[in-house]
Amino acid sequence: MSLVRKWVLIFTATLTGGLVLLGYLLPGQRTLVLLRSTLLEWAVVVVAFAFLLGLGNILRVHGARLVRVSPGWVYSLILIIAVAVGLIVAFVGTEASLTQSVYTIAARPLGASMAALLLFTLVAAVFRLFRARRSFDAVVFLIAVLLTLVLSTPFIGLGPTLQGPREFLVHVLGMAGVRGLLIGVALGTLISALRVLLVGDWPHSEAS
Amino acid sequence: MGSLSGLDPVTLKAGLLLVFSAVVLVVLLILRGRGRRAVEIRPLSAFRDLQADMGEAAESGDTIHIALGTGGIDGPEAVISLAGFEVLEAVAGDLVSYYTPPVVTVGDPTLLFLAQDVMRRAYERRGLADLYDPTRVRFVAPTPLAYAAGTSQIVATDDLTASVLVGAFGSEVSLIADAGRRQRLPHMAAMATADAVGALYPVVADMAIGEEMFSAGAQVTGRNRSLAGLAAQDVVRVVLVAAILLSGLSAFLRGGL
Repeated sequence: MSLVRKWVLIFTATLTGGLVLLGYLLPGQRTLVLLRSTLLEWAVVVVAFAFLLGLGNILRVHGARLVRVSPGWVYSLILIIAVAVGLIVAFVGTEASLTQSVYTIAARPLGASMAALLLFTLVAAVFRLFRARRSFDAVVFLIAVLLTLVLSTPFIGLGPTLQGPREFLVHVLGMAGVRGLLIGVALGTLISALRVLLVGDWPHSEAS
Repeated sequence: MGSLSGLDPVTLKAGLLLVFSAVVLVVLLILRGRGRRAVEIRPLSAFRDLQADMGEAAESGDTIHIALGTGGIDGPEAVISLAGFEVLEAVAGDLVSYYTPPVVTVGDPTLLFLAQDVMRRAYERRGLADLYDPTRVRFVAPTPLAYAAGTSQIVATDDLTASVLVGAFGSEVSLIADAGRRQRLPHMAAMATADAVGALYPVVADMAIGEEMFSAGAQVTGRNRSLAGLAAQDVVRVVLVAAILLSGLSAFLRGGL
């Protein structure tokens, strides 16, 4: 890639990122806020087109599996049929009875099933943990999970008594951990974003 | 995305000061680190095992799976997704050289093109542009549960030697990890949310948690720019911890705690 092209890319990205950042940090500057909104609207348009191309990727990957009769081709067939139905639904509108039927009969029950399966997977993983890893951390994790589950159970007559320990476990100890995690992530986000804006360190770009 | 106009002036000024200090630090550390190794870093086992997984992929002829999650590049999770790209970029070249390109799954279409771009450049750098196959990068689904379901299917049916989970995930990542566990695949994970960390902890022994995931670039590439960013992150963290402790102490002394 030519040096000019590289620096044009870096300049454009840095300028755009800097303007959006300033639009957030200086909310009193109307021009910057307006510029920020306009740039974000453009981003939304790009994302909408990305979805169309993403659909193309799904059809290409699963179409190829279907043609080659690869293992799991039946799932690919079902997926392609689902995509076709989804497209029809998109054209008839959200109020149409067909759309409502698709959501009621297929989308919602499938979503609920996946959520239930997820819960089962999480609980099974916790109970497998102690067999796989007998470390101090694992013991603490297991005790915390069991305590939270037990204290959340509505024992008759013990509700108010258990409320205090549960509140302490979830809202003091748990929340402290979550806040620590959030502060760390916020710091990492800030520094990584500045690295991208200041020095064109883009792992995803030819300018890197 | 929200605006900061609702914040009180003191918080806004503190935020501006933090951003400005971080800008100065990053620039200084980058200039200082030019041409020589900027800082020594603590190696994280989560990233160290990645090299071994790649070696195994090369020997077996199978490949590794890299899940970049459901965060896009147009929202608050953009930088978390970029951390995933750093891992992808670091391993893509070697895996392409071994003729075992990774299977990459994404849950946001904006990640699809960037991931394809990383893979395409990895092929071009090694003079293998003709072998580039864009369908190795797969957009699975735009919602977290559907993405997890589709990715679990890929983990269960493709010939893999390891599964790498780096990016924006929630508790649904447990489904992908469980599918990998059934195939006895080793996992490497870097997570930024409490939901995902809690869900993966029982399954994945070595995991990069929270800000550790932003060290992915420095850990796997060792580039000076990444190392400088990591050093700046450490300095700002110490300053922030000191500020939190001081404000807590000040509130305590004033009887407000």
